[in-house]
Amino acid sequence: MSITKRVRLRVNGVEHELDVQPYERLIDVLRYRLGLTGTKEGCSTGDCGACSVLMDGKVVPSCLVLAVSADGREIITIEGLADGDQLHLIQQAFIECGAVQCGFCTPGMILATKALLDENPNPTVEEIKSALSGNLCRCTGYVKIIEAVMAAAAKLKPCSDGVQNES
Amino acid sequence: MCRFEHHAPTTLEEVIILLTKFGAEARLLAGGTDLLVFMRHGRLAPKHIIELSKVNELTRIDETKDGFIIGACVKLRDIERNESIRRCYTHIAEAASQVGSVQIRNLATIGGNLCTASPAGDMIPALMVSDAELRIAGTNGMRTLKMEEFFKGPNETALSATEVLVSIHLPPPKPRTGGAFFKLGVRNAMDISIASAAAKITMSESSPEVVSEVKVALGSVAPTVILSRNVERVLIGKRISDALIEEAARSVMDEVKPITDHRASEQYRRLMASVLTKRALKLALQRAIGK
Repeated sequence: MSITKRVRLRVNGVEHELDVQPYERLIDVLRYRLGLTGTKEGCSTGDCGACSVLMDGKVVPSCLVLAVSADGREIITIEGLADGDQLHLIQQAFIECGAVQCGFCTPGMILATKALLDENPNPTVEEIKSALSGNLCRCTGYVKIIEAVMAAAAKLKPCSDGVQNES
Repeated sequence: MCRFEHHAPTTLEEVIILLTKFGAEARLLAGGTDLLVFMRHGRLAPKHIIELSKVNELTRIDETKDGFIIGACVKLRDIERNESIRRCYTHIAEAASQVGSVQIRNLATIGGNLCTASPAGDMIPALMVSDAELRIAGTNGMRTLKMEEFFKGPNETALSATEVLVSIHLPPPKPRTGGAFFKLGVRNAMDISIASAAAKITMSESSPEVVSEVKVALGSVAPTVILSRNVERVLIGKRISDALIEEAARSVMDEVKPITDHRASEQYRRLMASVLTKRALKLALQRAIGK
């Protein structure tokens, strides 16, 4: 029973080879094996979005993915967004718009925003609400979060010469 | 979470061998958005998990001259975003887009939604009105079931312990046909429906105002999703009108058998089944005429 399996994960650009128990979840490996505690565990049942990470570019709740199922996948966590000391402009927009209160939902919100803007660089307010509907903020600061997403989208918008503003 | 052994077969044959070997101790893992939650809550404690995502034929969408073949492990997000499905089976894409959140839809699969067999499963009404057929593999080869034959009760399907749902087959879309899906919850996202309705309507070729075929399926208002026979009786062969749609919508209130629970009362669900039927029929009609 419970035979460990070797998995290969590429997390924030770094290759890891780990022996995991079948019942370990992706969030367990990220937080307790790799020390990436930016990914938060809220409800543990996929309802709150706090544990959201990008898996092969798609936003998923890492509490509902077995580590063995993530074998060979590319994972991006909140720690993987900044470039050294330079915050990602979505992170910067959240700070500038005051979209962070207690901060527990913020990593998930930012990764869900990244997934949205990668797919749809010019979202409407309705599209933002729909894309973030799986991320709960219990400080209820949704208005400023939506403003931050709009601000990030505006900054990410390519200029006419195809070069991004401030990215 | 309970302790289990993980298996990741790459062919259907291997899946069935594993199911035969481990029997009731095994559970199939598709997207995991139900299974891992049930395991977390201790409602299920399988000793063996058989993951299906490595079986190629389960993860494909094929468009053929005989219609669409959707693999059981296709993600709901991929159904929601598939251009052909959005065009030909709008109501199926609509239903997929209303399940959970983006995060959930990136994991959850169409087959998982069917096999969990919740009376509130959002894909079930949409597929039921689409004449979808289910291909099932087992120790004796393949068999095909209609949607109505698959559901036996809340969380109960016709699958035996050694069978696996392989794909969902949709017949080619008919001309002068439209479909729609509506779901009612307390909030739009991450909510189990209080009631849901899917409708599909086909207008006659010779007299385009006459209904030649219609189907309405209702979720969360009976132990399983149900297909309304009353709506067919009221509408087929008749010249369509608002009054007739009202009558069809009222007729479902005699067919539903809702319960009262913390989400809604029996009376409210009965009424909402009628309201959603009306909305779904109206939008389906608009789409059928628009084509």
